[in-house]
Amino acid sequence: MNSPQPIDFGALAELIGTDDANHLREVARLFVSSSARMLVRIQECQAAGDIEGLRIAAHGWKGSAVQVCAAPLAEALARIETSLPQAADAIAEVERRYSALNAWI
Amino acid sequence: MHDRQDILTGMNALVVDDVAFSVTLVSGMLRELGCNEVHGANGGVDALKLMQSDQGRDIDLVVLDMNMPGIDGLTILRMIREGLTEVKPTATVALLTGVSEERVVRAAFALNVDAYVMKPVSKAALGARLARAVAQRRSAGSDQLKRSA
Repeated sequence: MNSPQPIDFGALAELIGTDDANHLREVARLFVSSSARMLVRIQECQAAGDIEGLRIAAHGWKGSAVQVCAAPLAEALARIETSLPQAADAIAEVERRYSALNAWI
Repeated sequence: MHDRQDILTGMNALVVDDVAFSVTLVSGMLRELGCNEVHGANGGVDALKLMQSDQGRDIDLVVLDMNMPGIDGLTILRMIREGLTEVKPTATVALLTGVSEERVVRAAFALNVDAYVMKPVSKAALGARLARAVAQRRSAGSDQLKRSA
């Protein structure tokens, strides 16, 4: 079975209300670049043992991942929320999904 | 029910989210829906600074995320309604969130939120929900004026 695309452009086109491929790609790029900061925030919270910070960061990033139709990343972020306080595996999965997204874009 | 999105034309909006991408995306949607000035704030602390400045007076529509570090969406909503910022307490406020817990939804409506919108949302759906919320608030305002006349 094929693994899902990191971002579902068809769904994103419907959400944003445009078929303009350049615009969609721009939105996706913007998401990926702003995601770098979110990943750092999650890693910082993990290093500091800040569980509440981790929950808020994962939740916030998940919201924007859902909004940009990045389902695999959104699912991994949801796993951080549900596995707290033991979220090391889920965070590693988010790091993998983010790398895949970054390479794909 | 009013859902003509041209009711949003010319409104000045504030978008608050701790994720910069979400601020950019939703701000873009609001501009395309006809809003005039759209301010963005990265989180509750940023939002509060803006709302307590002179710029706050011109804002008629606020789109808020719920979970943010420091100051969350419900706290900002309460501060607006209680007149603790320069934003008019009668401004239209929508929560745009991934949180669907009943406790939170009830708290938001107890604080007179005008719309509770779940992420993800399309531009069309957001426009329709905001238009309805603005129309309801204007209609409530004119009813109050009639009663006091």
